[in-house]
Amino acid sequence: MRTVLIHTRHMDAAAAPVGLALNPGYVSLSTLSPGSSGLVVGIGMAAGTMSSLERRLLELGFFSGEQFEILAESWPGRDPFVVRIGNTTLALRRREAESIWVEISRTR
Amino acid sequence: MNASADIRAEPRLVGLSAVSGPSLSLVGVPNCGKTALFNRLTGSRQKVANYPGVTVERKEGRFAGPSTGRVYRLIDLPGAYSLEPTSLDEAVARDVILGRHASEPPPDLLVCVVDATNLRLNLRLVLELKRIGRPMIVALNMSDVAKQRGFRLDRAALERALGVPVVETVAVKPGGERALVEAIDQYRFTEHQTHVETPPPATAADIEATQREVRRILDEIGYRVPPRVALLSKLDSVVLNPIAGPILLAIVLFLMFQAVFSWARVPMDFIQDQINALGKVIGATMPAGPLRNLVLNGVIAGAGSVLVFVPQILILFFFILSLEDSGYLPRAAYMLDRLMGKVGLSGRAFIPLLSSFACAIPGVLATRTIPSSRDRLATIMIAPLMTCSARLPVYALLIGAFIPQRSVGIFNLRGLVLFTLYMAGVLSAMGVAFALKRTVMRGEERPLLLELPEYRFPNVRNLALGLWERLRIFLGRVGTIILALMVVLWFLASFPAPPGGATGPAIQYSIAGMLGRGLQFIFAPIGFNWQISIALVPGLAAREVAVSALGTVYAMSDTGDVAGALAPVIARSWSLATALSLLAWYVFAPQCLSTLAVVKRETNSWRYPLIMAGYLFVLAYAASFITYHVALALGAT
Repeated sequence: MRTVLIHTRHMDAAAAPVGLALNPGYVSLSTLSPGSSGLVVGIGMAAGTMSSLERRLLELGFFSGEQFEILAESWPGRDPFVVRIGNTTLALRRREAESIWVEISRTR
Repeated sequence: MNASADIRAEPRLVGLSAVSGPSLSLVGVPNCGKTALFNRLTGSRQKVANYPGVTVERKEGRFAGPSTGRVYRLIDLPGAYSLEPTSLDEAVARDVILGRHASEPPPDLLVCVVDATNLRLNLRLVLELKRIGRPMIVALNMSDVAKQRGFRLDRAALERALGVPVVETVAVKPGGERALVEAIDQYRFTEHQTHVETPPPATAADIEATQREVRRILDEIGYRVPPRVALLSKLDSVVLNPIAGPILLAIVLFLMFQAVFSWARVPMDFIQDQINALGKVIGATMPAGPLRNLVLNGVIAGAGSVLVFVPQILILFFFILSLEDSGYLPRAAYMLDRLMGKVGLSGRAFIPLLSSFACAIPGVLATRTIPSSRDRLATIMIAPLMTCSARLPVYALLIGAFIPQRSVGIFNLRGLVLFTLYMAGVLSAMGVAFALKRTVMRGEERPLLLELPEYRFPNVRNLALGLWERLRIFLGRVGTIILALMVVLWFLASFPAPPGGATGPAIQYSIAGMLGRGLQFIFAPIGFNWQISIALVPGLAAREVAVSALGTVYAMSDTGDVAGALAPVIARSWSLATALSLLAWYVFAPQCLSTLAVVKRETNSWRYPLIMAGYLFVLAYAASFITYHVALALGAT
């Protein structure tokens, strides 16, 4: 299996999803713009530990196979932004979305 | 149930004093319609209080079962996404459910309310609750909306899949609770348990397993989510638009403050007329003497001058409650997150701060949803700078007396001045927050992570119940604290009687007069006369009391004893500079003992209420001093 690192502004190799080989198609949700949609791959956390933010993100539906769509971002600074996950609409800051890994099916 | 025999004797008695039967708790994620269902089940038979030690609102109500006559005690727990709390609200919900709460025994039955339009999010909590093995019924709420929007929903299949009773409810429609009431009434309650097994903390793998289970159940019951209703998407594309959204927010807030002034005029005039008429009747029928004097100048002039503001307070709460009910408030919080981040606050602070426009106390209570304790503390500290409705009577009186009724472009000048005063409060709050977060409350940033619920039309019944609750609290204050203080003040203002041959009004020779003149040494530099100085003292109990105190003081200073309107009297006797200075004072107005008491309880120390009172006093004095002297220099005499 290939392991390729994609270098994006927010990317942190240590935060790659545990047990998921890095795939060139995976990006962090925090880098995306309104109109992007796709599937969640998983939450990247260092093995064995889970922050309360990561726990809550998992509970709210950010886990493998869920549909997401970026609906809006504020101005200026594009932060915070609004994402629809499953049937829930959430507002979160870019930094909070860094550990959410997704596979994009549509961009704008 | 052993209590049912006692209750059978009086099956219709469902007042709060009725013997209590089984206890039920409503649990559910925020925005699932839990509170609407609670209102539907209990009507106005509810008691709102706080859990001891923390200011998380505790709502309890009762209702009778139609077939057994059992009276159920129903608790509306704070909304929680999970049993792993990230806020004080969720911690209370968890503690009650798990029987860990000191004063609240675990409920005999959990009624888990789920939003039928978002089972994906809601079922995870149901499964988590099921795991602790407590008796449970699932209320499939908003089932009507779900069907309208084209969700495929199979109640019986869900009941089979979950293995607990599932009933459909429509909290916003009369009769929409019937199936739930019947299911509860038919439920075979087992012995009351006090011990609840605490589940081990869930690992990431556990949560993912639960999520997969949710997905499996949804597939099994054939739950289908239709594409989002186009209208809602369109609404969000405007509301959440980076340019149009903030403009819309500014318009909404501005309209709210304009409405407070323009819509309230007719009912306010009406109430004032009634009070005047009542004063005339009593003046004409009661024999002259100290008692008539007390009723006219103490009770009617005092309490009456506060009652006039009921319409404005109701309009303000109407706006806040409707915005809350419609789902707009979290969107406003999202838009303001970055702006509030500049002064070190989270966008989440917007909701408590907006509530503080009604009253700082619910505002302070609403900070419980802020996960970070530093953010929470900073929000609490600036909450009293949001102009609360108790300051409205003071603003309204002074603006009514000193600012001409005139149009400036499309705006009303009085509305504009009021808006400026509100903005002054907001801007100084931002300044104080900035200073706090730079000095004593430094800390790392905490997540925003905020759910934006689907829009819905505010429910008339819920609005009415909310307004009624606020009106009851306000009238309760008028009837108790304000009335008692007015009687005390009347007494202080009447005795000792003036010596023979005295020329000035009687109040000048009374205890109140002496006190006022003593305080004037402090307040003269900012332009307050002795009448204002004395009115500020009872105003400590509640800010709006200052208005009724002025009403009493001036009624006692006048030669006639008819409780007349206060505005023309002060318009005659104060300079514009004094009026502006008092307005500036009330932007900060440190005197509200109830807020300080809530802050003390909330922060568990005297430190923060004392700092709060101190900084507010300094700011109030400085602002009034500057306003007064600038106004004098500009010739506002």
